[in-house]
Amino acid sequence: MIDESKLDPVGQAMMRLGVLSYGLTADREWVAAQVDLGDENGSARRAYVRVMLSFTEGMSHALAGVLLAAEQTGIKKMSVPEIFVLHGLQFQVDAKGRAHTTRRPERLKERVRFLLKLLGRCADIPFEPDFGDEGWRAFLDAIAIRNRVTHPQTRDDLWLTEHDLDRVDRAMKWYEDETAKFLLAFRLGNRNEQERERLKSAPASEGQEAATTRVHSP
Amino acid sequence: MSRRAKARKAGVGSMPTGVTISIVEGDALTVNADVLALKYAQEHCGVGELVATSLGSKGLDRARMQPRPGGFRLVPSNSAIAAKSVLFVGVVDLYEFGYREIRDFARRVLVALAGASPETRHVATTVHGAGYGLDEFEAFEAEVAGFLDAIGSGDIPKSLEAITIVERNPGRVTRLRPVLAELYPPLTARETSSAPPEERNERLRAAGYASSAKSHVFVAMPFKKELDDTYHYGIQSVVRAAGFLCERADLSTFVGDVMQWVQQRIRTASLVIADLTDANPNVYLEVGYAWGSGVPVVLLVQSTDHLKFDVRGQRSLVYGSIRELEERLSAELKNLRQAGTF
Repeated sequence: MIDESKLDPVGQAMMRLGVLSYGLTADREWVAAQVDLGDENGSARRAYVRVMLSFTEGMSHALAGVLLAAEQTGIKKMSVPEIFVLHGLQFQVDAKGRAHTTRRPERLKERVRFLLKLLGRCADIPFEPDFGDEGWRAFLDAIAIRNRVTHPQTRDDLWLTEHDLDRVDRAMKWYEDETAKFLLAFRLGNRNEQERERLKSAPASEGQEAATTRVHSP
Repeated sequence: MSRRAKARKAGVGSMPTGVTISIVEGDALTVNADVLALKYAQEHCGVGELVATSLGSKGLDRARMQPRPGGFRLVPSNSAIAAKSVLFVGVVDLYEFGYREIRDFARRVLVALAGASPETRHVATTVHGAGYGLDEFEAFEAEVAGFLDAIGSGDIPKSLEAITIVERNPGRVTRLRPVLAELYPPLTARETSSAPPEERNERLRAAGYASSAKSHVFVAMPFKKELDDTYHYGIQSVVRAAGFLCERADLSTFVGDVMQWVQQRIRTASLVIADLTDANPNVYLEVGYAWGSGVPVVLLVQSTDHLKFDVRGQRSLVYGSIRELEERLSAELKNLRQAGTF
């Protein structure tokens, strides 16, 4: 049990990223083992591609949560449109002329590009994500491959070659490297001295009872 | 003067005892000893679970192997393992089993056998604490000190000749053997040494007891065999050289709510060092907890051909080799110390 109420919001968001990645990583490991076991009809390969891209979807959502927490606590500044895009919300006007927000996330390609640029800007040491190299091109290829096997039009669309899987692996490596850059450069300052003192002086029982989140061990 | 009185007079660290203590690489289940001594942390885990399963296969009721904290059970092995008997010593839950408890466990092993099996000549046991993340040197010193407590007070089996600490990890045996030689030199070395063993005595007096007062660094990284060298030579040696205990959590070792232990060790850490290589979920979680608790974090990632990112001197490190990690982390800790970060 972890009492999140005693943690700062950015830490909470990072922990939610960790909890989500338990499931996503377990899927990655399982599906990779299925491909290695042998895959006569290609099902494991198709599952492999979908799981890898779903990892980037989930982690991007969780990283957006880290940024939003940083914005809410005043650590980082973002524009209103950026905040809405991070929430996956868009504005819409209904038939009666009233404005609404609707949940309509950007497509993965745009979302990842937007997110990484924002991550690069919000790091304590700002960096420019690498969209000009082979990694980004591999990521675009991986999305196309995932879309092809998820919405097939011919039997050939279902077939995945070794080259296809290599492109997906390269895309994953690129995605992990770019997000690692953000984490390495994000929270370098020591802003929480007062908070730490408050936590240290809190009674030992505080933080043990009013658990709000249950974290499962793997 | 009785044997016990002589031992008391000699005192820990200077006692001319004939009992040998050694650490060897091997499997605790195959060691030919009179007694294999194991802890029972209110659940069987690790070697204890393997032994309990083996004894169970020979018809021994598991209830006979589950002492409460403070108690013990001495059961025959019925040839299920190489040792003739198994001593299960009841201790607190694993996440409360720290350095002080390790010292107490080791002492209680010999005290229990002094009464229940005085003919015991050879006791085998395992290394405690290091397997689930405590600082291996500190935990080992506490274990040896616990044995010497019992030897010093004479509360040992009257026939005791040897204590063998068995460890499967050869690297750990290599690292801990010199520690044992320093704390408890062979009898001939003790007798011929003219140097007063004051430093050794002080270490033995403090082992386990003073551990909670020492600052520690918590390392968040996967507990994989292939990362052992990175941890032991790239991180642990640097952290200890900087004067801290070095701990990490093996989440697979614990039963129950492991996060309770992790939470406590991170909250009380002076610093967290987290290796982001391979995007491990535990590491993200532990980094989040450290960030949320305001504990300073040094992040590491192993560089690949694709990752080109220079954050040197910024509380983050990209490293290529273990040697590079050792050098950079050492410099980083020095900088953080000078900056008053921890």
